[in-house]
Amino acid sequence: MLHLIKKDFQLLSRSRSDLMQLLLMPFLLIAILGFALGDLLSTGFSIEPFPVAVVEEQNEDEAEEAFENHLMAIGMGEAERAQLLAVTDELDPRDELFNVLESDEVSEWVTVSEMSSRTSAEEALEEGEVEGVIVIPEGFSENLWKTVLLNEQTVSELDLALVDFQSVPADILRSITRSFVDRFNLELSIALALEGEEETAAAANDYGEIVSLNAVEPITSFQYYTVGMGMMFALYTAPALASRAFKEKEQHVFGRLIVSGTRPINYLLSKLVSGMWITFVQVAILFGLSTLVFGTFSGRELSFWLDAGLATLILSFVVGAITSLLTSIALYSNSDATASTFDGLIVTLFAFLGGSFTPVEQFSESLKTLGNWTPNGAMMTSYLQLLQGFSLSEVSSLMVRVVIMAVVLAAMSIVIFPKRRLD
Amino acid sequence: MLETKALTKKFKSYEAVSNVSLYLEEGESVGLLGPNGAGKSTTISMMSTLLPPTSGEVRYNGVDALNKPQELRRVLGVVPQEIALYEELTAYENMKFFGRIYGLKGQKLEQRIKEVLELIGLTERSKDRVETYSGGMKRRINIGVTLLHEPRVLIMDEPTVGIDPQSRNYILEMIRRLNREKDMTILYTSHYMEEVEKLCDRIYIMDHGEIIASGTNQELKNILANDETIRIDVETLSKDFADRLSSHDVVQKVTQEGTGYKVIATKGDDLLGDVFELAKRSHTKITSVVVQTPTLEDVFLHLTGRTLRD
Repeated sequence: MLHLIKKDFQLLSRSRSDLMQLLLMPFLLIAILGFALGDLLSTGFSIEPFPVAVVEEQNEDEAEEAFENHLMAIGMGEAERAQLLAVTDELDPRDELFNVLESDEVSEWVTVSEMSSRTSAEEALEEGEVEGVIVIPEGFSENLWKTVLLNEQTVSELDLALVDFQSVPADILRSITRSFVDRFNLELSIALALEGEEETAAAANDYGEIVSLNAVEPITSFQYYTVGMGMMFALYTAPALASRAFKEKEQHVFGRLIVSGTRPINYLLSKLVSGMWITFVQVAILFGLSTLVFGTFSGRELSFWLDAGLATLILSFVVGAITSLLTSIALYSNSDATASTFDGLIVTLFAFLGGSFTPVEQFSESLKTLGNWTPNGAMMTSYLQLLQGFSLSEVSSLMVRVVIMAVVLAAMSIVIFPKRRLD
Repeated sequence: MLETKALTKKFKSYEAVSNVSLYLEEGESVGLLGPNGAGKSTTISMMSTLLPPTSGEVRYNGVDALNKPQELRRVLGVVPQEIALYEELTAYENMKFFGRIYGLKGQKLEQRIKEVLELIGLTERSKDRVETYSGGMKRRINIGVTLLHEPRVLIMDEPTVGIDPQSRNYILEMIRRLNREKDMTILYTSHYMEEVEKLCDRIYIMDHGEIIASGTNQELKNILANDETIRIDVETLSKDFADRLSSHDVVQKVTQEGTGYKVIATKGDDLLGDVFELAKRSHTKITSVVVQTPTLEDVFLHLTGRTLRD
């Protein structure tokens, strides 16, 4: 099978038209769109600050009182109690959350309004007055203090209600709240354990910046279009290889391969693997070239490149599966009409829905949701979220979706592939 | 060695091949002669195990090759009518790729590539892309790739279509050598009767999906043993003259060819005298008359009423 894959690479490297389509055109488009639409993109992509309601189910005094009662219940002496209660004044998670939400970075995205009860906030959510609700539940601060100051195993979670779980605001809110709680627990515990109480306040003060940096980093036009064009033109690999497979059949090369003892299923798998590796190389070249020429991903940490590498592998897998399916259909139907339609129409449609040309959420959130069900769209969202500082686990649901798509497409191609009918 | 029994292939309601039974003995060179669309390519696709028949059998050394194709495929070389190569690659790259597909590697592969390139006369051009080759050179490399694994059975589907006479002669001579010197069993399909006559020990004639005659060259020509072929050239073609010839008692077929007519008639009668008389009556001036030995073309004409190139 290696010979078949090597041959596909060899043929592609000799085809000027394929090289232009798969490498030159996307690179030119990255340059053109990156320069020309840079301002347009930043306008289009910036989201108007969206309203979020915050509900506090227990105020600060009640929380401190509950904590003090707990300290007494566990038999702590008065002096120690006074010392810890003094720390709670400095270390109020509720205040820290508001600091984060009202920080310069986050307030560009979020406007906060306080509401008195969970019910009224949920009504506002239903009526579309707010896009999300963060509820600081009763015991939230108390539990955090127990964890941080007393090393007790408690769970502190903010409740989050969202209008649309797939939307960008939803992603942002999720990221803010999750990383807020995680980091608060982790960093303050470490700070307390290592540096003592004096350091705690400093660590807490730094926290707002950490959250805002990690929540959403701005995407440059070059980053957006490098990813967008990469996703779009990766799809072109599939029809290019499938059309070549059809040509192989038309010119009886396929027959020659079969007579030589090549198993038909190996031929099909070679197309899947070729599609996969050609896509991987193609995207790697585009991202690398874009970084070299435009500095698109310069200065990124190794962890980003590893995550992006995994994302590219998943993208390559799904393109390989599409290649294999288009090959099966071409050989089964004795026509490359499906590959041509994919090349001429479906790639463009998928590219639009996936947001390769412009972020589709500016038209409608449903389009964005639909786009995330296209392999390129789902991968584009994943890449952009990785660029914005989201962790791999946070974007993994979309990647898993693409892997499932790839497995289904590959299975379909095997079922359709004509194992005997080679006329 | 390789045989088919009642091989039939239907494409929906159209029967492309009907009850074809033929055989090839080891070391034999067999021709499958017929016009375009006779079903030759479909027959050899089934014999090559590439196309499953609607009914019938293909057997190699008595083994069912349709259900167990591996044994036949190991010793089989098929030269398709099309240039079944990667034209963007060089001849050498094509040979290396197909050689590996056939399971050759290392020194053995390099050695075979060298030998085959010499055999097909393309050593000097082996580093050039196939797309830059002439039609004849493409045909030669198309055959060469098939010879890499030294097949025992070589099936060739019209391997000389559309090439110049010099390349054609080169290919025919090469095939003859493969058959005589390497003892390769060859099934050669063509609609050029001269090629089949020159190369093949036995011939099957096919038309409309059926074998209509078979035998050695001489046995087939003996079908016309009682007939003679007369070639009459005239100054001006005349329908009246052609009609008068056709209605003659001993004349079986009259076909117009170039500036004259080809007449197949029963031997023995003094047809020539009548030909001149009929020409006089229809005011046609005869420029030449030649009595020919029957060819396979005449046999085909006799059997089907059509020429091989119709």
